[in-house]
Amino acid sequence: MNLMNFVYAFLLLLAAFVFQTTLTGINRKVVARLQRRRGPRFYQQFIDIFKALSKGSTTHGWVFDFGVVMALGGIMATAIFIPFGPLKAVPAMDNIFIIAYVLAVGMLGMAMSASGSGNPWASIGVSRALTNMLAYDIPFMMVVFGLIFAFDTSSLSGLAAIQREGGFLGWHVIRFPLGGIVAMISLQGMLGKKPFDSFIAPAEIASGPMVEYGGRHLGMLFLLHEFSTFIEVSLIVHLFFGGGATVAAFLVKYALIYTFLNIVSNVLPRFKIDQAVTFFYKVPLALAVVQTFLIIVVGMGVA
Amino acid sequence: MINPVLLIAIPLLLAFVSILYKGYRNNLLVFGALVNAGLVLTLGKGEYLIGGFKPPFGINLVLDDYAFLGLLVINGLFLLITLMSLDKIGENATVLLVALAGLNGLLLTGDLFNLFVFLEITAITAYILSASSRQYQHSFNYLVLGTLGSGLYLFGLILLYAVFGSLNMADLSLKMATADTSQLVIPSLLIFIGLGVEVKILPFNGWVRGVYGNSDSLVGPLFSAVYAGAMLLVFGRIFAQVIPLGAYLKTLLLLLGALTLIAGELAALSKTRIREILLYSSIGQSGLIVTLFLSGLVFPAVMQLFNNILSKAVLFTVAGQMADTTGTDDAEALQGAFARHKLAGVAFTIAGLSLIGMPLFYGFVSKINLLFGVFSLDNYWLPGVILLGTVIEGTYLIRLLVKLWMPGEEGLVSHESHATKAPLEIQRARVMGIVVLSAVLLVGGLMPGMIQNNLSESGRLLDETTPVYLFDLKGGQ
Amino acid sequence: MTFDILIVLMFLGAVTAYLVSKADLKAGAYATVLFSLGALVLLLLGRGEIGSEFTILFMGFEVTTIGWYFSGVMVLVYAMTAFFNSYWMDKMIYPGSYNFLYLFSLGGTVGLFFAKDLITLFIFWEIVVWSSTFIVPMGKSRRAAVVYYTISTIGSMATLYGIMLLHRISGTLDIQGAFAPLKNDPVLATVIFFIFIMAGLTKIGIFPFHIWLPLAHGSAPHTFSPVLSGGLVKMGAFIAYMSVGILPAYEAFKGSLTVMGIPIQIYALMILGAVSIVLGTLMAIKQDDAKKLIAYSSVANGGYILIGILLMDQLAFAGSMMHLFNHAIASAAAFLAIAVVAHRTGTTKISELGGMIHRMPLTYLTYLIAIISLAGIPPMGGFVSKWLIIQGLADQGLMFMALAAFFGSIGSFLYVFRPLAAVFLGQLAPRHEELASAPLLMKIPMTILMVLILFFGVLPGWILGIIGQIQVAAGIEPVMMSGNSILAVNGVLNTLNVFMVFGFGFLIALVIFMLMQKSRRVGLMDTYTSAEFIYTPELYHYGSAFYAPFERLYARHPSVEDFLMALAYKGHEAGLMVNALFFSHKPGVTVFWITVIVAVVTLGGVGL
Repeated sequence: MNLMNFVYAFLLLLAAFVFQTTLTGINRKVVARLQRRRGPRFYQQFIDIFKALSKGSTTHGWVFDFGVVMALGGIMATAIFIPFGPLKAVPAMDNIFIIAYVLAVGMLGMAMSASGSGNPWASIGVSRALTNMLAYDIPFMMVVFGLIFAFDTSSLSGLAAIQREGGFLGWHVIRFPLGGIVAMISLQGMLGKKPFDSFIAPAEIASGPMVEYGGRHLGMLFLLHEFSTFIEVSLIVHLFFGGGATVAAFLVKYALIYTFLNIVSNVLPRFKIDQAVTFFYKVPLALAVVQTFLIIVVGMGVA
Repeated sequence: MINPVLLIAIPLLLAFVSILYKGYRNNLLVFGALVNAGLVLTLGKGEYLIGGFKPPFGINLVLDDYAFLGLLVINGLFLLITLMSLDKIGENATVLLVALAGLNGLLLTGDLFNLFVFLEITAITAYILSASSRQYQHSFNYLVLGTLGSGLYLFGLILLYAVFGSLNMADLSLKMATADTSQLVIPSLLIFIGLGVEVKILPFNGWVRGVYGNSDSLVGPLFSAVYAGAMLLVFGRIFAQVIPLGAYLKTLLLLLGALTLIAGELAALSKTRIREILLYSSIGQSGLIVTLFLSGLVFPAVMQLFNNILSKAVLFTVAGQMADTTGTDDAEALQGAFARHKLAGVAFTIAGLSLIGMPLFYGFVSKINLLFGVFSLDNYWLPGVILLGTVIEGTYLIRLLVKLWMPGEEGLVSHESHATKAPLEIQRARVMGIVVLSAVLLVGGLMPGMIQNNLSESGRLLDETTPVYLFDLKGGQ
Repeated sequence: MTFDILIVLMFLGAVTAYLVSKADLKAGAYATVLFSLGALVLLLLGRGEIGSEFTILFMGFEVTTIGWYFSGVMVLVYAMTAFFNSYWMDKMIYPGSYNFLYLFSLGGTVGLFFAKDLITLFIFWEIVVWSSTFIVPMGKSRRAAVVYYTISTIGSMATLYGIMLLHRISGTLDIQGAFAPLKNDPVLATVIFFIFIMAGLTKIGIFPFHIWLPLAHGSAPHTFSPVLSGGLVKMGAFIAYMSVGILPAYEAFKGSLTVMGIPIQIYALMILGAVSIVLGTLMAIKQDDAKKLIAYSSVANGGYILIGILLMDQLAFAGSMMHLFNHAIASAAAFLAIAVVAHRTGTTKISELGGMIHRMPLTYLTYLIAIISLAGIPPMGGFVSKWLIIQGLADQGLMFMALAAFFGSIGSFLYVFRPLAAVFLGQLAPRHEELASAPLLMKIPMTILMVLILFFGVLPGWILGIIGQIQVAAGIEPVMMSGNSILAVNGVLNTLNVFMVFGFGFLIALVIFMLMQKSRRVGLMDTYTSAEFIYTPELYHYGSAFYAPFERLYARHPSVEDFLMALAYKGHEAGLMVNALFFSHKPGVTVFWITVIVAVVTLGGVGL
């Protein structure tokens, strides 16, 4: 690693931020249209973030602040590991397990900060968020495990490159359809979109972990949200949709998947948290196990 | 060369004297025990004739390594226990002297009928001693069963005599070695049952619970260590060295031994009174030792026997003392008793750990050797049973030790304020005695070779085929 | 020369500590610190003597790399925990004996790892068992000690049987030689494998022998729980290593049925490891006692370690060896942090605590770093080892092990977070307002452990180098390093880069945070409350039943504890039955039995 890596990393972060925030703005518009509203301007999300960042706020002590910094720092570090299409800021660091665990630093920081506020709503939200994670991550990891076994690499770009060899039909979502379904459902859980959004449920627990945040804290959480969305959707694009030979291809796939999930989210009701766990362990986990079994034992779909 | 008959004669003589001079009873007892213990050290090995008739016609005393080791430990323990519990002896000094004579006779005699006589003498002293708890029903129970046992023993003896025409052990064993084993089934079974009553083999040991369970700090260690030790040695003499067992009977008796081991340990597990726990543990240990003797593993059996009786002497002394001074020996009521009696507690703990067979203590040396022995016979189920017994034994002994050391309710940190308020007293003499005994167990465990050297070549001559682990074999060999 | 001095010194140290304690309790506790630190220094000095042999009394020893590594882990945990001893001297019922047993068990563990023959191994094993058995009941539960002892003994007696059987077969007790004849005899090897490993399984706390961990770790004196969890459990891993590595199991089971290339015998135990991971995780999630929670997490982590060791490959084995160390120090640090809390507040119940961060920030940090490592999150040591294990599993395609590993991994976020949130964060109860922070002597080991956890997470090279030597000695491919990168066949991990990128991200976030408008500090009672007034901080703190919706899903799970307790009760009943059948106060009963025996023998055997 040298200085240039860090410069690239910074630029990549910036690009990811701009892209995802724009996409969020567009999606607000899309959702509005679904609901027969006009919706805000596409750059409204930028306005919201910068406005929040510039406002005054209250803090509940050093761990409240530290947690936010740790969360955003951890998430941004994870985002740096994600290949941006074919571009990588840091070479040979896009190992899927590294990404999965570095992501957890951010999660932990966020949870810590929220619990540090002393608001029970926040703690309930954290409890639900962690439970949710236990639900969606296991099926997802199982599918990923099968992929790694099949192709002997756990590098995101490596796995993406393998898919592109066979053109459109080489995509893992085609070759391993069960795994693709599981990954899409898990992604919905990762993004915290309906039906798996009980941990922020604004009307029930006053936005859960977010309840105490305002001003720069809230602004940073918005940023965090954009970056974690970027990480999660990118994971799926790389793992199942052939990644991106070019930045443009990557971004198009990304935008389509994100918008699709967003639309799905808006026509679904919300699971209670224990329902979410039961659902994930009944359907996606079973599918994931079947898929992994097919890959490992039968070798189905592995060229 | 001193004639070992003195070991029998001196206590008997002193016993008569003690009737005449009642005021000096205790002094005579201590004197007798001391003289006997001293005499043992000067004995020379060999056969000694009594009355001038040569065996197999006359009675002879046999002092081989086996008898010597037994005499040494039994006389030593007898002396120590007497000294520890002098204040408990009361009217029983004469009885104890007779008992000493009888016990020595048991170990020394080379004649089966003579053995019966000593068996009766010892048993009668035991009945009398057991009555010192004033639980006459239990003593009576013991009397009935003991008499029945000796009767069966005598019956078996008569059968043997009718078949082989001899009562001398050496002579008989030669004759029986070539005999048809079916002729031996009934007499050896009867002798087994007869001795089984005394060595506490299931199911002949119904008396043990009443007698051991109410023993005081004199009778408890005396029975569990001295009497039990001598009886087991006699058992080993007869069944490992004199009577050859047929395969059928051997299997059956081995099973009985193994059953005694497991049943005894299980029964101990279900008890809460300390003396009851210990008495069932004694039964279990008897089962183990009998099994070893029956398998022909004399030396490992003797080692385990010594481990058992040395430990039990300590354990029963403390348990008896608890019952004597507090009126109860329920472990719950006595929790934390050692908080105020640390030295006694340490001795008790060492004895307990040695009994389980924990390393650093003599019990470990004996356990390892007996396992080597059993495996050398290509017997693979017996070690499993023995180790299962060890697990159960360890569980209840550790439970007991923890209870006695660490008072406190579950969920609260152990603290001295939870300790029993019972007025437990342990006299200095007893504490010193048990400390000496536990020190022997500790030294025996740390330096097993040293004991070996000091006991000359004894023991190993009995069973030259088994290598003695930790004595002359070291790690890796 | 260094190692015989080391072993003897520990036992002499035990006696010294006892004698010093008689004069002055605190001084006795300091003696435990000095001796255990001395042991650490001697170990580090003696690194060059690997391969030497020596004897003490009748016991033979040989210094191997793996023995050196294990004892290093053990001594480190003992030495760090020893700093805490002096604060518990006045709370312990037998402080002198505690100090004695503390060093005594340390001596036992050190000797164990250097044993050259199986009897020496067993001797030291049992020494550790009984010495630690007497420390456990000084804490909150007597029953725990008995359960601990019984389970340990079931294991060690099985292993003793295995040792004796080995001796019978090979005629030697030398560790290398004793296993030699098994290579060509798969049936015998299978028997020995399952019997011999028992002591390891019970000690690690693998299902169904895990029940002693929550009991013993949870209720042992606060200064001994770190040793139990961080140290003694690892003895089991050593036995597990012997069973696969020295046996050698893979060679012996060459002809057996295999599952994904793993012989079925080994796979069966790996399943037990996987069950332990899932069970430990689920149970840890629902504990209300912080110590029990960490104890269950030890069950789960024991599962990882067992699976890795059983695999005996390049990656998972290395990961498991490293996880030993990482879990030892992280779990010790977590227990020590809880011990500080217990020292100040007198409780370890999560629901009775809260807001400790305001009174003891360093303790909070220690706990935070420890749990990050326990959960396997970078940049801590635990991440590196879990990464290696999971990469290894992926390499072999062991999907069900991986399923358990993932569940344990994500599940650990849940349970480690709970004490963090409920004990350290949130509202401080008014009764805890005046608490002091951790005393200086407690801060020293906590700081050292924190630094170590972080250091080996960023630069694991040194430790992986040692593990590589262990692997070479065991005849498997060593884990490959290139610079700061760990090269797995299916992935690369550059821990330094991870740390630097993380630092970079953190820096940017910090800059953003700093550049923006300053925030106003408000108290923890000044929160959004739906416009209700609140008065009672401890009631407002969200500390109990943290994962209630999730716990409900498995509230009525079947429990092996119940089964084992029922079994124990059956033993009790069997004892009563023996008593009733044979030990009547009526002599007639005995006469009856005599008649039965005579009849059986006569009818069945006269013809023989």
